[in-house]
Amino acid sequence: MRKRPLQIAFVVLWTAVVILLVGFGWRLLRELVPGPEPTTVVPPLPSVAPPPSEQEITLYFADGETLALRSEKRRTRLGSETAGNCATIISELIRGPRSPTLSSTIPSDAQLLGAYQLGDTLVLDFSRELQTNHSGGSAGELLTVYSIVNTLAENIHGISRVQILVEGNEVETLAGHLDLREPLSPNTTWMTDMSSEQPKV
Amino acid sequence: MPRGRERSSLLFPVNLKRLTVILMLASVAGIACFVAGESFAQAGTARENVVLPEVARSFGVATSWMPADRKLSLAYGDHDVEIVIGTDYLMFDGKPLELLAPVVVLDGAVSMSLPDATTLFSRLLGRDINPAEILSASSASRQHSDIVGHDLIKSIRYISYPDLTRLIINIAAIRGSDAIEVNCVRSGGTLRVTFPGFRMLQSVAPFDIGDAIVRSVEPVQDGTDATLVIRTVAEGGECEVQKHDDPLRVVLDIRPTDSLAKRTPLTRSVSTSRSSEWTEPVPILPDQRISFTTVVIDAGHGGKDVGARGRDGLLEKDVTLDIALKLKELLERGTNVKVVLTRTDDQFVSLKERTAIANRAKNGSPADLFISIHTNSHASTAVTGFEAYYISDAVDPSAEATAAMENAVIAFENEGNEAVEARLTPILWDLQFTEFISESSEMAFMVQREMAERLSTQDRGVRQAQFIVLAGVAMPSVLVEVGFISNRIEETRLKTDDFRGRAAEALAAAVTDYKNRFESRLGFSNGTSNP
Repeated sequence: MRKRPLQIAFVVLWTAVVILLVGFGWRLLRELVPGPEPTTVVPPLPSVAPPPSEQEITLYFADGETLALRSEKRRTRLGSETAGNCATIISELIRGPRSPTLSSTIPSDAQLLGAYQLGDTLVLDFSRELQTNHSGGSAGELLTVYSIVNTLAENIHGISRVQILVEGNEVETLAGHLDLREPLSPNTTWMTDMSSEQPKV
Repeated sequence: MPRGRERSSLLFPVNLKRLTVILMLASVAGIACFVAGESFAQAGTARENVVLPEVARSFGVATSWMPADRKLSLAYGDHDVEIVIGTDYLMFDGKPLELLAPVVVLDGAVSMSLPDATTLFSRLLGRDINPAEILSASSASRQHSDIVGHDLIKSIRYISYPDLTRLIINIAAIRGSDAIEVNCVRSGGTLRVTFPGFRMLQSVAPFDIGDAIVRSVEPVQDGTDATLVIRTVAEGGECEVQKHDDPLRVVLDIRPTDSLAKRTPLTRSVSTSRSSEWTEPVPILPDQRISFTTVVIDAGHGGKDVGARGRDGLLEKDVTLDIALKLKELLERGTNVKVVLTRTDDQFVSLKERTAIANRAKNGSPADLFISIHTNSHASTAVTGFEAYYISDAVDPSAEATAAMENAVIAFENEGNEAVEARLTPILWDLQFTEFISESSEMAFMVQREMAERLSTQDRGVRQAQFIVLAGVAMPSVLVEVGFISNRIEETRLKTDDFRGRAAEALAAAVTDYKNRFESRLGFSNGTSNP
């Protein structure tokens, strides 16, 4: 009977300690983890929006020997945003291959102006140099277009088709041959000589 | 439960069991009648038609074919006969003679009914000829009477893809596709594909393919079995068999042994929607494609669009125009083919206009063949060689849907009557397109072979791509890349009259070869056509 008030006091004390700890922990959490951007509605949970991390990407360049595309892997920092990642990957493509047997497929002064995703289709908007400074030829044109399409479909999750625009507009072709009026799927059939050790596109 | 029984017996006063039996019997009878009717109808039409040029040839009657007028002429002794496809009379020594049935193109061959042929040849040769003689003379007759009732191999068609050759074997059988047995045996460079219990129609002639995988196909009747002897380029080919119903056919995919590992599945993406400002190619009925008269030659680029540029300043547009003009001259000198150019001088012609010109080149209708001439370019200046492209269907050729669509074309061609035309009109363009792919691939491989013979540069092979001019024309088409202007040595070659001349010769030879094959499919052997 005498012990009852003591028990109550104990419970009250424990409750206070727990409340204190929770409150302290909450403050600590809020200080360590950056809060949400004013525009985003995503709750500030630690699992959201990881900082850009280094990842391995696969780039497709022109192989002078076989007239096909060949892959080259490199590490680069990718974030969670599609547009930003596209820009990173395209700039790596423009920078060109490391292997001396491969050649670049995109005119060096071309720029990616924008990128957005519509379902499984990725729309890429390039500056006019992609078209005006293209060296032409069926082979050259096919390699340019499919190095872009195959590379992005492989590295951007959930993309199975790519539509190329020039200065915001739909174009018939880049250099007079390949039909760009519709989004293109990655192509492996015309590149029969692609080496088999590379992953499927 | 008892209530349910009561209700059902109220609804069906007749004993249910008896009704079922009656219904079953009725449906069996119905099916039997249908099958009998079908086979009767088949036997009826089958026995009646003979391939006219074949019969003429075997009796020593001279034939000449004027595709532009859809007219066939026969000459024997003092007599001459003129027949216009689709009409139900002929001109015998200038006098009209009525026919029981019009002369038609069946299964791609000029065909006449047996009674008409019997009358005609009796008059022409001046002696009594009986129908059996006509039948035995027509080695490619539609169907001999003794064949009716057998499982038949009716026709074979092929499509060359860069990494596989597809044979589509049209059959007639009482059993369904599941019950058909197909055996593939390989020995060295030969594949023997056997259909046990099948008859090979005599109209199924041996043919050369000559693509990267298959040299030739020879149909053989081997006792009670029909066999295809397929000679492959490399030793050892892989044979994949698919069987389909409606219409009944077997699809054989032949691949070089090592290429199987390389096969990668491709996501299917067919899009038929086109920007509306492009002229939608007008579908043409197979019956209209019985003549080869008009070729469109498209000199790539032009005017402000210079095309690819060589290191030494040579422009693609100048090379393509010169080759196109040389090719036109060669074709006009060597054949009776009408040549239409998409441009005759250094002017800009949009891609849209080019396809529009081609689609109305043959008296307002699409031409019979489209050849686009280009020079290639690559970032690596070391790359050299020539290539031929044909349109890609943007579908994995191993996809079953493609095989199904390809075959529908054949079924359509075989029936070739108005009822079918009406039924198939909405998907006609798809069917026609697939037929064009088959013929385009044939042309592409012929172009490549002819260039390999005449140009001493690297053979880069045949490829498929979604090229805009090829997609826009309603006819078989190829795009030819004669050499790399980006390579210094090839640029020097491309400047010479000699190289351009040889490229034009290669293309002219391919056109002639294609025309001969086209006409021999109609039942005319090479050389019998009007010069």
